[in-house]
Amino acid sequence: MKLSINGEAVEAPARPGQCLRTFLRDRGHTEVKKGCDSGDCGACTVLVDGTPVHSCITPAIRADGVDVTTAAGIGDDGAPHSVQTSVAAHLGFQCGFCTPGMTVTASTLSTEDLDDLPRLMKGNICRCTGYRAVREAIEHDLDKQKSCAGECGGCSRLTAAEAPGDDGVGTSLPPGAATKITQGLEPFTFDEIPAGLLHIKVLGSPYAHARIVSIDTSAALALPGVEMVLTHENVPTTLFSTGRHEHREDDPDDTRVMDDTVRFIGQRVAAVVADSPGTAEAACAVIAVSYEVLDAVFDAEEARSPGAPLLHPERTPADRVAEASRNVIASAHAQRGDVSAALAQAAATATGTWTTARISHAQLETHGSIAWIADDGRLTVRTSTQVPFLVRDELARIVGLEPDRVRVFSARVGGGFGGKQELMTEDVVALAAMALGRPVAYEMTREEEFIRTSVRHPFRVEAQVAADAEGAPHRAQRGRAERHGGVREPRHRRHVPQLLRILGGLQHP
Amino acid sequence: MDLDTVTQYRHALSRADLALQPGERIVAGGTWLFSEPQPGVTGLVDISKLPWPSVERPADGSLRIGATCTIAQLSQLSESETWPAAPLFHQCATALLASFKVWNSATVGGNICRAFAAAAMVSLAATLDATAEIWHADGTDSHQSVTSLITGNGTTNLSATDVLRSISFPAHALQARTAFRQISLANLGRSGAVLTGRRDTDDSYVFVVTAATLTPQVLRYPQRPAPQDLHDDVHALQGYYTDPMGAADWRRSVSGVLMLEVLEELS
Repeated sequence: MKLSINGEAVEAPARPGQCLRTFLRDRGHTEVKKGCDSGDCGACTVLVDGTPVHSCITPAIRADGVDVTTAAGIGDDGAPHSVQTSVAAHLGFQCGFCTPGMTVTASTLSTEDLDDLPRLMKGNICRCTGYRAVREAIEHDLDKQKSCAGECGGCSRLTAAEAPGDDGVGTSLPPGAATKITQGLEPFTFDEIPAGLLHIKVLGSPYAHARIVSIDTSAALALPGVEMVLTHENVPTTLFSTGRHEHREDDPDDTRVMDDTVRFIGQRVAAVVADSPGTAEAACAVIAVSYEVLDAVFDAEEARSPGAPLLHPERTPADRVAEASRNVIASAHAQRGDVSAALAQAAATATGTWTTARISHAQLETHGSIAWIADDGRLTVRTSTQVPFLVRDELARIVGLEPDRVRVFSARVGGGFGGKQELMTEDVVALAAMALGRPVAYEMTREEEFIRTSVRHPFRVEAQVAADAEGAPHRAQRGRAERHGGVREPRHRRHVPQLLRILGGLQHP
Repeated sequence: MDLDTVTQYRHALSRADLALQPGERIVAGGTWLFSEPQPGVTGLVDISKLPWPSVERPADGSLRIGATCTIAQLSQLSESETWPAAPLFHQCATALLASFKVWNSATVGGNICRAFAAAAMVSLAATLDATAEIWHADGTDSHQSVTSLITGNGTTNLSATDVLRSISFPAHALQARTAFRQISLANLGRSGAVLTGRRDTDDSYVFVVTAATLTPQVLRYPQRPAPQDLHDDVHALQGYYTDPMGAADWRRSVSGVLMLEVLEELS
């Protein structure tokens, strides 16, 4: 098919099920970001013949004969569009992953749209900044005089950037990368792809608790383009925790790259390495796995009650699992004063239980990493992480290399919010790259974010509060907090302080 | 998202091209189809190039919308038309969670066939007594009200080989005055309840609850109902449901309150 991208004529075939976003990124237009992948977040917004669309839900084949304009092309001759300059000056971004798409949408608005801005911009989601600075940047671009007469911090930063003083000292300037970020030209993890890249897709467990009796990967390996299939049978058995902290002893050793027992729906059973994501996905579908389904438990209280199925019966305090015999990884208890006596004497008491849900961190850039063997022979991993050095140390341990033979780095990260203090993708790409000697990528889908990563842990907090006759909270309160979730979130020990904080908050002076 | 299981993509250019092979699915705007994995789908049949006018105005004063008319085009009718009911077209479009950018691709027919409870094109069609024209694979056609097409939250009585050809809005409904209310847990979020009403030139009234109930619920009155009666009737409707976008009792309660605002606006 023939089309133009930012004024440049392009002739290339589109795959039948391909979306326009992937087609554009495959042509090097990585300013078009992959966020939600379902038409909600707007990070992939482009103009098709001047009309803004979400390119992730636009069939690529429909782009035949059209003019596509991306964030790198909405300005004149490669220069930033005025709204991009305004977003940079008003600091309307933080991680910057949403920003290119956001500015493409904003570039289609006019002064008459200002009253309807929330509705018109609702298809562009920013997880970092909130929207005040974004709104200000768009308003002041469209109508600077009415908005602030050029006097606000953002607009004066814009003026300063256009005509910097002697040496810029004492002047508030936009961050150095700001303009490139707004145009989408500052590379995130999957915006710089090594040649000959292989792709991983993961087959997940359909059961909450099961033992893998057998895996037959022969049909997958027979598919053209499939290079390798990782299963528990051919990966290291090193125990680790996906949660990373400065001291690895903060976390239990209860996770393997792949295990012969699976403990949540979606847990990795096999990882296919192939020459395209589509091939890898097709190969996952033909892996034959035989499971022995085991009893599962879904509630923290039930999990520590007698008779509950044990998830890690073989773990010991040496693995930093306190009581494997009743599924308790750690516990903490504290008391100040004579709570029972005070409760007994109180004029009134109230008791309740409060729960919070699992919550996805919802960063726009999904977890993902690319591994290769660098020219100096070092295993090199580019990953979307908040903790590259902590990942390096543990990854070296998992794959059996000295830390100085492993390099893990991050450039710009499209949001993490704590969800990327984890080792979620780096282990499988590293093992595949080491085995095959080729670069290997594993970019999680949005769906995988929900089923295969750590989310914010659900809590249940029970509290008993006493008050005096005037209704003032009494000094004696009793509470119990517990963190839910079986093994899907293996960062248990780290949450002991969190539990104590909740209880501490209840211990009113 | 990429639908990597899809290996064939063809454009239907005539009715004969709509015969589906095993594994094939119809794609109109594609905005829902490409938003979720579609395991088992191996071919797509694109109906966007069929020579269906988006908007037709038959001599009887009705309005015929081609199923592939985009929501953006439909929304524009609120500006270009002078029927008393014209504002409802844009209002219903704003009840969609989808951004105006999605409206540029998403089709009226697609929104109706996908049939989610919050499908705002169903709200519009149900309020204006619209009729669906359906093409069957054996070459026959049938007509039924859009309201009766919807059997649940995301289900219709269409078979996999049926194709929605058009939606027709009768003249008497276009000449009616309308009112619209929408509420969601998050401002501009997915609709928890959409309340619409219509007062015809003969002073009969139609009230419709959508998004709050699994299927569109239509209440008809030969004359203006007493507010308490309308409120009670709205509360007595079946199908209020609970999901992360709202609890059933909340949906029922806000429907009662907002429908009285619809009545007041039409009075």
